[in-house]
Order: sequence, then structure tokens, then C-alpha cells
Amino acid sequence: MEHFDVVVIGGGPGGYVAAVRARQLGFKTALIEKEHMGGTCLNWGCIPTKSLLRNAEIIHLLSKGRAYGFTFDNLEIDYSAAHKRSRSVVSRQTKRVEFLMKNSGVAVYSGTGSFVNVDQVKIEPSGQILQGTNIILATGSSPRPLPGVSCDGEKIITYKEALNLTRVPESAVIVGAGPIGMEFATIWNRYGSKVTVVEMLPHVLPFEDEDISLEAAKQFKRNRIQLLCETAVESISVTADSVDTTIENINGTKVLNAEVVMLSIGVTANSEGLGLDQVGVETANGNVIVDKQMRTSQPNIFAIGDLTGKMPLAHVASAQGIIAIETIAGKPARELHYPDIPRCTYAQPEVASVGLTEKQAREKGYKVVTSQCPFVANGKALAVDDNSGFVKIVANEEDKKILGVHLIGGHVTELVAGPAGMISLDSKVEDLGNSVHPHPTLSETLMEAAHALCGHAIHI
Amino acid sequence: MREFDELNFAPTVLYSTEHTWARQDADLITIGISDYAQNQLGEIIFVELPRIGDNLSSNDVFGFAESVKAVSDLYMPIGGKVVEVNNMVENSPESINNSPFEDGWMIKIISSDTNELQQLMSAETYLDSLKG
Repeated sequence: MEHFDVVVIGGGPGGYVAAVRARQLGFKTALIEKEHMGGTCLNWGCIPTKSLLRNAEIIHLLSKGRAYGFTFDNLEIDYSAAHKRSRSVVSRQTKRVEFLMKNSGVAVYSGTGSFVNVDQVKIEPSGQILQGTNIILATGSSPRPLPGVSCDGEKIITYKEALNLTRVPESAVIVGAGPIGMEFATIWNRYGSKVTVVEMLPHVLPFEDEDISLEAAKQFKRNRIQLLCETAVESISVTADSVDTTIENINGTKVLNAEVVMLSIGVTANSEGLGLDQVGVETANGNVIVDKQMRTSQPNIFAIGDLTGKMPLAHVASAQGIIAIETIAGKPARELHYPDIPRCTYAQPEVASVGLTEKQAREKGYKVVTSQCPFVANGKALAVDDNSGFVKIVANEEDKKILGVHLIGGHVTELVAGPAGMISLDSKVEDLGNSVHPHPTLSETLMEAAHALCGHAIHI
Repeated sequence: MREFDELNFAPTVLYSTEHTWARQDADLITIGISDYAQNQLGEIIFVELPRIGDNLSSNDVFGFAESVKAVSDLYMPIGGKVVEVNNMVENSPESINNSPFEDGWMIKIISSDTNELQQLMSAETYLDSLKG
């Protein structure tokens, strides 16, 4: 039986980052992956959707061609090429991660891993057993099922099948208006599909600041995506050549007919099949319970990423993986402050946020001041023809500490890292306003929103 | 990375200063990158090559090779018209690492002026130029 200092189960952005960090710190490291390196993020999530969204953005640009002086008679749009490109992007990046493992000296095993006892993991189907002084669980998550609805993978699908489509459905119902739902709504809508999004909660992107959700709804509607909020799905039934979704809201009951239904109502932890009970690793609602350094109830077993149910984002998993390994190495204890981690939605418009929403800040007892500054006042935004949306700052009235920054508009996912850094350094609104932002950039609107909150906006 | 004495400097081809090689068969010239170049790049994960029918001059960029470490432009050792592209290296770019002079060839061109071959280096001269 081969012995390792660290055995990682799962090769997604949590597991593979943990494995590289473990090698950097001199640990003999194994990683067990059941499918492809990179996990859901790289194969069926973050990365292929960004490739398809890039195509969607180009279609949108072409649709505005006349204003730019481009005319064409026989424009042909072939979604299968977009699909092919997205898979090529995935295979390039997967290879990169495979070589990263090889070059870092991580021993990669193919298969699933489950506990034999607290320091032994059995790989299936090979049956090989690895001994690990420390075990990192990083098995990720799967789409959350809708009670009473079974996905047939053809007419009722999740993000995985949606990414495998080589043509765009003529009509689609998307259940769940979170980031995944709105990204697919954007892609299919730009390719001419009739898209209806059904959301149980009062707003689209329901966990964003309310002002952001309302602006997002306005822009999605402008793009002719139909939004039905505060609407429940009663049942979904497959017919001969389409699928019927029965919905219920304040207006009563209605049947939506479409070519496909995509379910995007969140994710559930992949904690089954690991043999957690056998080794006494505790879970709550399927999520593995961890402390701030990602230790489970067994001191040599750690869990990271979606499996912990903390915040199902790739960058959270990676950060948790590094903390777990540094804890094993005996480095000073670090912990993540989850509200300060940026969240991004890459639909059109994009949404990005960090820190508390206005509502959360009030609930925490802060006396809150806010400012909003629109991109319409930004010269670069106008020049690049992408000037909808705004920046909103939420601050504590007393000491003007920045509590949250919320952005909606073009390219805002690339703007959020700056304010995230400032929040993690406990900066005040004045610090953001005094930090000179380059002209002409979209980022100037952040500075302007800070000036506005201090009562001296220049351009508005 | 391997040392010079572990690398293959195939004597049957001519080399450019940009680490591409050219092998002549009458007017038809096969082009690829040297063993030294692939070794410097590391594992190649993607290549983009020109289209058949493209006319390119000596030193024009005919594509790029993306490796774990970098994206590198590929330069024409001599000019000509592209008549064949190796689809196999587009689908499995690792063949460039494994067999830079055989399976890993990139394009075939009809040379516009075979005299340009005289500007290229023999294996021996190429190796000397690398050793500086």
C-alpha cells in the first residue's frame, strides 16, 4: 500500500490547488479524480459558459452592426461552432491542469475514492488502497434536484446537458434565476431562443442587493427574456415533442410549453459514497461540517469547496484548499471572511458584488448610508457602447467604512477585485475616493460613487 | 528540460533562427519546429495553423503554439503557399513534443523561391548558434 502525507479526493479548483500547495510545502501528495481534472468549474461550469457567453456577446455586437457601419447580407450563425469552441477551451485548460499536476509531482489516480478507515482511501474501480496521513475531501457538488421532477437529460436538463447541446432550443423554460440560470438565459436569448425564467423568490439574482436585482430584471426584460418571479413550479411533464411546466403565482396557474426545461435551483454537496459515517465525519444536510481551518470532526480529515456548503464558488474552494494545507503544515491559522469574497454573474449585464447588501447591513444593525453612480456618466462606457448599469456603495454612516460594493453593467466582474481588496483592508469610502483611478476606464465610476457618498460627486 | 546533447538536431532539415525547420522535396517544403524549440516550450497543449491557400512570406507568422508556459508565434522559414496542414497536430499537439521532425510536422508549402533555403542553417550551424 502506497503511503502519502496528503491524499486529496477530487480534482476541481479546490482539490488541485490544495495538491499543488501541498507539493510546494514538501508533502508527498496523491489526488484521486473520477472524471477530468478541473472538476465542474473547468469542465461543466465557469469556463465553458464564459466561452459561450463570449459568442453571445459577439452576436449582440453583430446585431448592432449597422450603427458601427457594418452591413452584411448573408450572416450565418452556427451555434455548433460555439459549442465546439467551448469544448476546445475546456480541453486546452484541462491539459494545462494535468501538466500542472505532473510538473508539481502530484500522483494522480483515476477513479472514485472512499474511506476504508480514517487514514486509508480505496479507489474504485481499481480497488487500490492509498494510505494518507491527512485526507482532503474536495468532491464538489451536483445540481440540486427539484422535488417530484426527474431530469431525463433531454427535455428536462441541468447545466451539464445544457453545455452539451449542439443547437440552441427554440424555446426554453429556466427554473431558478440565480447566476447559472441567468447565464444560460443570456446565451440562448442572444441566439434567438424564446426564454422564460421562473423564480420562486421576489427578484432575479435573488441574493444580490435589491437595487441590483431590479436593474438586472430591467435589462433582461429589455433583451426580451421573460421573467416570472414569486412563481412556483407545480409540475413538469414531458410531451411528445416538448415539455410543459405548470407554474403558479398571484395570477393563478398557467402552463408554459417549451422545447426544454433547465433546472438551476442551486447545488447539493457530493457527500454520498465517501463512507463518511464509517470514519465519523459529521455532516449537516449533506454538507460536511468543518471548522475555520477546514478540519472535519476527524482531525486528520479536511473538507473544502462545495462539499462544505459554505459558498459554492470555485475561488472559495481554492482559498479553503490552501488554508487546509497550510494548517496541516502547521502555519499560523488563517480563516476566510465569507462576506468579503466577491460574487460574479457573467450574464449580460454582468453583476459583481462584495461585502454586505444594504439589507444585510441594516439587519446587522449598522446605520447605513449608500450612494449609486451610473455608468451613463462614464466616458469610456459611452465610447464602448456599454453604459447601462451602476455602482452602489453601502457604508457605515458613523465611520464611513465600506461595507459593500455592488456593480451591474458591462465588464463589472473585472472591476470587483479592487473594492474587494479595500474591504478586506477595512478601508473607508474616503480611501476609495482618494485612490486615483485611471481615465478613461469603467473603474472611474467606483471612485465617483465614493465621491458621491462623501457628498461631492464630480460628474453627476 | 533536456540538455543539448540529449536533443535531436535532425541533419535532413534546414533550420531558421526562429527555431522552425524546412525539409525540401522539390518545390514542396515541409515545415515544423525544432526539437530544441519544443523542449523550450514544454508540453504543447494547442496550436493554431494557417489555412490551405494562404500565401506567406519568409518570417511571416504562420500560427502559434501554446504550451504550459507560454504562447509562441511560429515564423515561416521561407515563403510560399500553404498546400497542406497537419490536422493531427491540431487534434493532438503533444505529437509536436514527441516527434517534432516526423509526426509533428505542421504545414507543407509550395515554395515561391527555393533560393530562400540558402538563408537557412544546417543542423551543425544551428546547434553552434544555440550554444552561442
